[in-house]
Amino acid sequence: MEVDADAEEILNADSLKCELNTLSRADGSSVLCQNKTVMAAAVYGPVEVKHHKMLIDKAYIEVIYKPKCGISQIGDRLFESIIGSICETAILSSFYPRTAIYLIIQELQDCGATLACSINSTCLALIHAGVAMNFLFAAVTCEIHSDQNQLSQFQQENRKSEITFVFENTSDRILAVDSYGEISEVEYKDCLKKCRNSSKVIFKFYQDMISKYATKM
Amino acid sequence: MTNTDTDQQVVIPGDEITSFLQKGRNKIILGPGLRRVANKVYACNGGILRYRSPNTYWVDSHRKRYIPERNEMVIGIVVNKQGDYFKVDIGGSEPAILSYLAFEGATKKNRVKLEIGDLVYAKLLTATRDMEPELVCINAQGKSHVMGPLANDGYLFHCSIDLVRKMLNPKCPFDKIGDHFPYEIVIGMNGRIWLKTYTVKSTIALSKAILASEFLSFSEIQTMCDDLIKQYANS
Repeated sequence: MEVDADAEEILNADSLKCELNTLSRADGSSVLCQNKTVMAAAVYGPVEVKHHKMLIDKAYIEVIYKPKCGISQIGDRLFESIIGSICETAILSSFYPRTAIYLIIQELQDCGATLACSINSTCLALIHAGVAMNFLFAAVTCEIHSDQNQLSQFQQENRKSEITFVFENTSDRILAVDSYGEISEVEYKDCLKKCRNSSKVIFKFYQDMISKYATKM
Repeated sequence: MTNTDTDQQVVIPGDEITSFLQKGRNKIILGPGLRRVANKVYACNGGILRYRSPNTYWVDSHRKRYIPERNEMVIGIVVNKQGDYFKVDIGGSEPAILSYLAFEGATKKNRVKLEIGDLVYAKLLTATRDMEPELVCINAQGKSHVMGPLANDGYLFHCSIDLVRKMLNPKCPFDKIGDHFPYEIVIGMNGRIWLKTYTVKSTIALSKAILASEFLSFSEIQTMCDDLIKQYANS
């Protein structure tokens, strides 16, 4: 996979650090550090499902997002629904009818781009759990600054707006977009191009993580 | 996709692997981790693409949660007794059923003695995703073979499914330890291992060694086994 030079502007491979199998009892778990934002994700499943939640043709997928402190708020519920809908398209849930797959995401450190980091850590946990998937997904956030057309992933003081793209690895389609603030069409297209290039860095990172443990099997 | 070695092809979900399959064969068997969409083959698990001649392909991936598969040998824990059936937890998404007549020599009068919490080594007679799995402790000839209740003096521990596959690989050097200190082992495909040795010390040593071998290659396991035998001989 070739990566364009401007992908490095938003995200470089050195800023991604990950540890798999951090939880002994979860079926799949990961801690992902993206720049300075850290998220832990755990996957339990396919497990037994409560009768009223059972779907006879596919798995029931539930996402729980835990903030650093306190109980989850409205914003966290929004995260849960975004991640839940991405996972429902990515996971081959028809392989596991009458079961449940639980995803638990714990925020450890928030330095911007929390949604992107939690989506990526979820993907790593799903890979580690061996859940069958249509494709992998990777999220990239970029911020637009008010003074200049500069993009970054860090939480800056003078940011005007922020946009998160989620891509899949088979044909580079967009799975989800989440934005905040005012974005012009030109800025949107610029962000999309740069984020798409950056997503290739993440997919390469996923593959490296798999080959690290898989070559010993 | 990075092609480092033909035997170590790493695939990620969504990779199209049609080009790796042998051309000109009219029949190809796709194992776990692979699926066919129209006339293309995709990986749906992350791991290593394996091939066995003449025409079988599958992906070896990490997994901890067991998904019942027909004809696999598993270690179950009896969780309930319901009339003619035992409910047995095999680590899947729902408990399996085991008929009290599915034991060697069992009749309606002569029942097998199994209590809640007992272990059984059994074979999956049926396992489909839409029905609860069914276990048996006899083969087609009505003989128990190696199946049946496991003794209470063993030690049961859990591990990942890929470690089980590694242990059952004929190349795995663990059975050579048996020449130095005797042990009895039952490996269930559902990630449960039952171990029995004569001393507590050797039970602990062997179970630790098995769990440690998850991230070691076969040659590294061999070195570890040699160390273990040496330490055991010295103490």
